[in-house]
Amino acid sequence: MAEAAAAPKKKGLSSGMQILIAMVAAILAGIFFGETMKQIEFIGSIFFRLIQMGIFPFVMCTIITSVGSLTPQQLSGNGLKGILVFVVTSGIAAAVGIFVALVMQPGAGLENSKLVQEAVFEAEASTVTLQDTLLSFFGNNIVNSMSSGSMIQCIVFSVALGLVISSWRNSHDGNCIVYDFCSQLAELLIRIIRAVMTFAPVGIFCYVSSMIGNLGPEILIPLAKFLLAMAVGMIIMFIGYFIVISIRCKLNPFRLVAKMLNMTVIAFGTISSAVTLPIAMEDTKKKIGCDPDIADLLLPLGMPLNSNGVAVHLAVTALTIAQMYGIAFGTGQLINVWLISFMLSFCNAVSPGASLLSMTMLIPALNLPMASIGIFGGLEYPTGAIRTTLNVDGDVFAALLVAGADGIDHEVFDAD
Amino acid sequence: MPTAPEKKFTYNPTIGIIIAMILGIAAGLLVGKPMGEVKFIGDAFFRLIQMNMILFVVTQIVDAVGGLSGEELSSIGLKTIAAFLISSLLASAWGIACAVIARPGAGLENSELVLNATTDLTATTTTVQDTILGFLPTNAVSAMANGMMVPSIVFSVFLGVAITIYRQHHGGQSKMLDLVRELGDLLLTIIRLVMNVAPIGIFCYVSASIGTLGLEILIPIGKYILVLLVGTLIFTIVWLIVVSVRCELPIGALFKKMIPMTVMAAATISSAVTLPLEMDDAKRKIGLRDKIADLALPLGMPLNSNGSALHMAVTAIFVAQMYGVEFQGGALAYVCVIALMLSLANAVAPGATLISLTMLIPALGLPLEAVAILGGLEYIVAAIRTTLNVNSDVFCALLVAKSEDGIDYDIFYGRKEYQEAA
Repeated sequence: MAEAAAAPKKKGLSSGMQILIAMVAAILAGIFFGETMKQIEFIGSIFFRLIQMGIFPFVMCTIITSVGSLTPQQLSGNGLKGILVFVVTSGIAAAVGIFVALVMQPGAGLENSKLVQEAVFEAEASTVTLQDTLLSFFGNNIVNSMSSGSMIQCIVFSVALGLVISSWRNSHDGNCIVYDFCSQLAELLIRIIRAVMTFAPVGIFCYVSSMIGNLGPEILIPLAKFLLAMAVGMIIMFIGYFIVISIRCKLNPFRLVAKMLNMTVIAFGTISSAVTLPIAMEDTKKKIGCDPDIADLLLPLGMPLNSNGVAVHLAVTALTIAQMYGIAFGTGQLINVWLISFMLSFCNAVSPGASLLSMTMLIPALNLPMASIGIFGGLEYPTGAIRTTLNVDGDVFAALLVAGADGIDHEVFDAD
Repeated sequence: MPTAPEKKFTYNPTIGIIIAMILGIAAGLLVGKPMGEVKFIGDAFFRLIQMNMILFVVTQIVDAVGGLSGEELSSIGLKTIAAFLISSLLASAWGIACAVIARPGAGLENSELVLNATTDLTATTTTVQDTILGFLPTNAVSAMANGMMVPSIVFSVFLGVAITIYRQHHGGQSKMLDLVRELGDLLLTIIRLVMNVAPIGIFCYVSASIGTLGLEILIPIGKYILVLLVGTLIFTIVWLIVVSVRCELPIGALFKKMIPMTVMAAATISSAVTLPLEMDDAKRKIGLRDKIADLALPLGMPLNSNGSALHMAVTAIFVAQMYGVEFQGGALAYVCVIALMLSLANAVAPGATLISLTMLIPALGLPLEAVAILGGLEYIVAAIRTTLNVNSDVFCALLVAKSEDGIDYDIFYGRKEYQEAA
């Protein structure tokens, strides 16, 4: 099904496919050549550093521009309700991800492997108090937060700056030099990242083959469990959504599933919420009967802002990696994982290799070993599909939730 | 902008802060140690302001210097820096005089306080050459990231000068200047928003400080605090008289206009956190023109620390007396200069003076344990010091403004509203 729907725009293989092939080749190379493959790990590191070097300004500029571009109309009435729904659902999604990963323990079972025994992890001790955790969201000095890589502090600052920019633009006829500067910088950085992403298969190959070569193929066992955990997380989110929507909007959930099937399949196949957006808008208005004003406002707004799938993905990945390395997270760190997954889900880059990119943000932010990034980054296609499906459907759910029973034309909904 | 409607509601931030402080002291005394639990709320408040501060100072200085013409730059800049240095040196000398005359440290040699003092601080040695070299950054980004104000300002001044020259060749235009100026305005807006909750933050901070430390600690070294307080008070009054005579301003009215920033400084013990309010009041109430206020006040925050110089001089002599060491003649001059230097090198953060003391005390050959005793007093001492730091910035700016036609007397006397520059 996936192959049929996937419509790569470039000639040749899609980037997801290339990465998948690179990963399979790397597993084979790792098994055949063993430890010698470790010699090429640095090539993988070069690839990831080329991405990482631009990540901080990229995340900040993306958040500053997406918050800064909010208009007063979007920040009031239905827009504000929608944003609240986005925030709450992303928070829930990250929590579901943590819950699923804690229950299913996808990364467990490697205690005796070389990985755990060799791992030198820098994750800080779990003696952090709640107050320390809360306080650590705020930096003393934003330049210091950027240079020391404190993601949450930078995001807090960016949101504050974005809000101020939004009101500034409103009182200055939409002009704001800082906004233009940030949006152009983000644009430039994503170009760098896209260019580097062309070499993603090479980077993934080097990382994965050296990891497999060094540690043996049993390191792959958690991956299957990991994908399963993500799928379960997604299903939990879906079921929750259908229950809430059918009660709030008085809709028949089975009918709703049928009406959303089309956009879900496209999201799954293209792994791009941008590509799916026109169809999602069309179907939400014409098939489900959502109030067009709400759909037109919230669906485009939700594309960058509301990424439930990303929140689930990041939370599950973080915990899986921690479990693989035998790092036990205390409550303080779980809150940290939750927050970072939740907050990073708002700077969802619309680009190929998006999963890989968000992992480049997540893993250093939690002080987890970078070596793990290869095998999880190699799962670009399957994780991307799950993420995008939940992202797109999450936007539609948010719009329906805001619309409520009165905002939906039940005649349209009941028609075939 | 047409005349902005006056705020009708009666919420007065200064009153709010004073009430918060009083309540905070009361809560700290009544509840005691458990109040320490709310400190993080106060800290969070401070950090929301502090996070912007280094960028804010850099943007203000680049904007101020970059917006000046060549001649203005040299005359205002040089006069301002001269005023800073001379007044800080006087403050340092005055502090030594106070401590030598009042002898606050005498008779403490055998007290429990001195005998029990232990510390885990390590001595930092510094030479005059190192200190001067430390004013220059090796890497502007790392200077900013580490919160090193003076090196960041040195870089900003150079960037500002470069922008001034660039603008002369490009019809007065510079995109960089526009960007920096707007960023400064945006950061100020964030700070103003956060300031709305200042009383909450200050209540938490003050009550936690008093609650965990208690006031008992004050009694044995009450004399030291008293000398510091009276010395600072006299210095401020002399400043006030000098400025009001020189600038032909009524002393009472000037004093009254400076109350909000003084209260803010005492409550937050941070000249950085006070800076935005200080700049607002200097422009809107006292009538300092933008070209002076935008340059002198941010520049003065780290460069002009009358209060810190005075504090360090008093402390050095106090510690020496406490340990029975007598300084005379040349040694006193040395203390005077070192105190001035270190007041310049102060990082702008609450608690930064403690770091300066770890440089000062060993530099004078005194035991570091003394710093541990004084560490407990940090909050009270810092409140005294910060008010003078902030007030003297405004005084210096006014002195410079007088000779540069930088005071708008119409604003001072309330005959006209402050207009935001286009």
